[in-house]
Amino acid sequence: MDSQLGGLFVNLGPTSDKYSVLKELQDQTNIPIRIETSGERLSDLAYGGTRLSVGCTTGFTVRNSANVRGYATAGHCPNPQSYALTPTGAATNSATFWNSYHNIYADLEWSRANGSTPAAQFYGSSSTTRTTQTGTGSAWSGAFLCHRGLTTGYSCGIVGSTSYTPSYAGACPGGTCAATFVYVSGPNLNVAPGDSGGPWFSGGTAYGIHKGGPATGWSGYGFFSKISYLSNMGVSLL
Amino acid sequence: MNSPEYVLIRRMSATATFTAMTMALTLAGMLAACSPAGDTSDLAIRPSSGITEGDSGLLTGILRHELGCTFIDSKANGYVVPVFTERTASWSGDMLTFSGTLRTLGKVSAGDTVELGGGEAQGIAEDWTIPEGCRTYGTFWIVAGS
Repeated sequence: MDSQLGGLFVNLGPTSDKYSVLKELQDQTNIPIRIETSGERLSDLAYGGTRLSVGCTTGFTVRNSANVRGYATAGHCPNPQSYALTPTGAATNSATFWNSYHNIYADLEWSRANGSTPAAQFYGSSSTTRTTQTGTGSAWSGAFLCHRGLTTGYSCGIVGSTSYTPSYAGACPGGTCAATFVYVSGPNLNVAPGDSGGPWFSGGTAYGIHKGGPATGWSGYGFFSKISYLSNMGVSLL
Repeated sequence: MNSPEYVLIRRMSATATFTAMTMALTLAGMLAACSPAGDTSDLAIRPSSGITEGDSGLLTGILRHELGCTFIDSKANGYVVPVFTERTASWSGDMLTFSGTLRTLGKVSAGDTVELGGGEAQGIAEDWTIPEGCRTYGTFWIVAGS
């Protein structure tokens, strides 16, 4: 066992079929696995909904037109960042900030995932079983959406507004926020510091990237940036 | 909501209710004006927006109070200056008192590990009060609160 990884560490001979072994072990044990051979580290797979070193959460995995791959998160999350391969794992994988769209319309940024290969999956309703990203959607009032965050884990609520205007001090750099954010509430919805950047979704459909909520947290409402603004950073969902 | 206070006011006469509400508002104003008692000169402060919301980032680190500045020594983020809402934090001797809506509530001392909800600021706003000792730091954190 590798305590830092929180999973198995396997050292193979140079002729082993590394990918097959990795996939088989991962499928059988459902735990993250790192494989090395002759001291050379091979690529792990990176996903959305995992821990960021800076007190935030990764949203969805993305790529730009040059096929540089990484993850989206909230623009107010500090840089530089490192990320974990699981929701609760150690954030030891380095990332390189690539671009942001943090203004009155949205609170987004994305970073290239170094030393791993982002896959089109995220940790959504389960902290151990991943959900495949199937596309993006536009929220509507009354929609039932869910999110995952570093602090509160998984919870869901009902969309109350798709034209919410965060109005706390410093909510949006460059002026007063536009009415472009999505407000979600519900008795079972939990939001707290650390959840920023995490995915909002329904099944495998991506709806947004978490921005904020009540300062005390855990109070039944939150709001997010619409996923459609990813294109303003020159990226799309994997 | 049917709290005892609400029931009490509802049973008063109109005159008594007005008098009681006036006294309560005066008292609240006095408390707000002087609370919390203590020194804020080494704290970065911003005006209250009256909105008890904030970004959902989480800054974790060791509280430092050095050379005229209060900052967080964060393993992940380096040195970060928290910008508190006015009247939510102050120093009293070696103790920093939080009365705002922070994840770590109460009193802490320099050297303690603290967690502050909020988000990284994109520059310094004109209406913030930044101690001279804090101006050498490049990163500011808007502490979630009113």
